[in-house]
Amino acid sequence: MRVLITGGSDGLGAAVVRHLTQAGAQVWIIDKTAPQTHQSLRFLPCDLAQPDDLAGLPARLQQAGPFDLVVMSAGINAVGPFEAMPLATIRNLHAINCAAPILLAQHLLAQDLIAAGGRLVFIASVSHFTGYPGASVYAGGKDALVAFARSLRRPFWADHRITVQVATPGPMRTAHAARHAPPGSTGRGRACPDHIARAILRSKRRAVIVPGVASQAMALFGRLFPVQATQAMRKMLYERLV
Amino acid sequence: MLDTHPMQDHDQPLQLPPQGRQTWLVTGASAGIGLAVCQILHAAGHDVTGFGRRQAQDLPAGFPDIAYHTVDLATSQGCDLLAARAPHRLDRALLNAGLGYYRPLCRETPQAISDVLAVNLLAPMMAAHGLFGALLAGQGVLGLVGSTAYRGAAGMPVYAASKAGLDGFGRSLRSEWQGRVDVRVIHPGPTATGMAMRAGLTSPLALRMMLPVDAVAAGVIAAMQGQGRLRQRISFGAILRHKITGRAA
Ligand SMILES: NC(=O)c1ccc[n+]([C@@H]2O[C@H](COP(=O)([O-])OP(=O)(O)OC[C@H]3O[C@@H](n4cnc5c(N)ncnc54)[C@H](OP(=O)(O)O)[C@@H]3O)[C@@H](O)[C@H]2O)c1
Repeated sequence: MRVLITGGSDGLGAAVVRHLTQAGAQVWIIDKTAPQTHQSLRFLPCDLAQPDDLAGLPARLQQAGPFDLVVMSAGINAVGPFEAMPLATIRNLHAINCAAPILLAQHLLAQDLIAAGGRLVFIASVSHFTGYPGASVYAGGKDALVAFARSLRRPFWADHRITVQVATPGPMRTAHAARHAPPGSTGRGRACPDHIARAILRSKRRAVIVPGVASQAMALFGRLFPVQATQAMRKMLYERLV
Repeated sequence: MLDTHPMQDHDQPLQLPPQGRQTWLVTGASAGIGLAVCQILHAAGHDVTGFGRRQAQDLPAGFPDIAYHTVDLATSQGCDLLAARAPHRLDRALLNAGLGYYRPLCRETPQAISDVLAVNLLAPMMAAHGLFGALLAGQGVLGLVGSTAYRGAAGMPVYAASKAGLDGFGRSLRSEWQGRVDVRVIHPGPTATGMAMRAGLTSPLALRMMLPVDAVAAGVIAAMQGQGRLRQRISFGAILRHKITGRAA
């Protein structure tokens, strides 16, 4: 099995890579920094915030593909009151979390780099169900990915026999989460990225994968009580940031 | 049905809302829903500043006598210019400029994808950032014009993504700004503006099923007044309800 993953050097992406390499898959990683472990992995340095870098990817991938599994896991976060966020940060969040996976999907499709029978998985966030005050730009970008995946799902299956999915993990014990947790947070209640990676890889059919019990509980709360869920997120995150 | 000059067929003059004269900012003021909104607001005696991509000399004949600025919201300079030209105190900011294409991903181009995401999602974020002070000063309302496609639409995946992003951004920002600036996301259904045809929709049946632009514009304005919920959908049902009860969606 051939796999392409963005953001495979760290966090959830690295956990997905560990599972896949153990299962004998050939993995190509797109990231800004090289993976810490598995020096033998095929690594394509790329700054996803640069559209030109992105546009150059398909040519570099021509020999490697088509891929049976593509995971768009690269993402950044920045928290703080929206009006105080530097404009450069807003641009970066938009470019990396939202524009890059959409552009990369178009490039891969145009170059036939996703195999028939393959899977295309976007990584969004459980904030889709709850809102995320204190990270409004992040929340917007992730919701864009959910709608993008939902939109592609039927036509990709009908026209290309590709399964499109989106996963909405909750807080995990990754460097990303630790950096953006509110001050005083113990990290309790955070899921182990290996566990989440396994749940995502196992779920081969679902349109929206809600991996792990914590994010399932958050998603259910958000679905039943959307206003209260956003209010609870505000208390837990935003009010500790200001 | 396809009338783009709503003021021509309003037989009774619109009345000033109880709040009195308001200061509005409207993007995408040069065509479609934004133009109709500006016409109604101007006729009702409000103070309106409009923004559009085209030059002033290319504005349509029925353009109201309001302040107008040319900005390309696909660029960061355009977003900066918007913030610089905006009034310092705002009662209402309606971020309505947008574009999109009815086509599958395999017929998209990277440039078009970047533009749609920039104008429909990044620019409203930048504008919200730049207008915060003016909206705070006016204890104002920020309106983000989305689309009912925000839940996903097989025929227009990139557009749907951009509008879902706007919805998610608005949801969280509404919570961040609660008690300071009221944030609302307004989702019109398919509307008979030039957009649908430019977007590549040609089916006559689909075009006939579209909402009239003047009714949508009135619905958008109503959705910006009074106590409002986060999401307001503008559909045939909502327009009918509004006509009967006078209340927004
Ligand atoms: N029509 C529908 O069926 C429908 C349904 C739901 C939601 N909406 C949303 O409603 C809003 C208005 O749509 P509409 O139907 O009135 O569209 P429209 O008739 O095509 O008008 C779009 C407006 O946006 C402006 N605009 C586009 N690109 C711009 C850019 N790069 N910089 C600055 N301004 C730009 C246009 O300016 P110029 O004309 O000067 O270029 C124009 O004033 C959009 O956000 C749209 O997504 C429309």
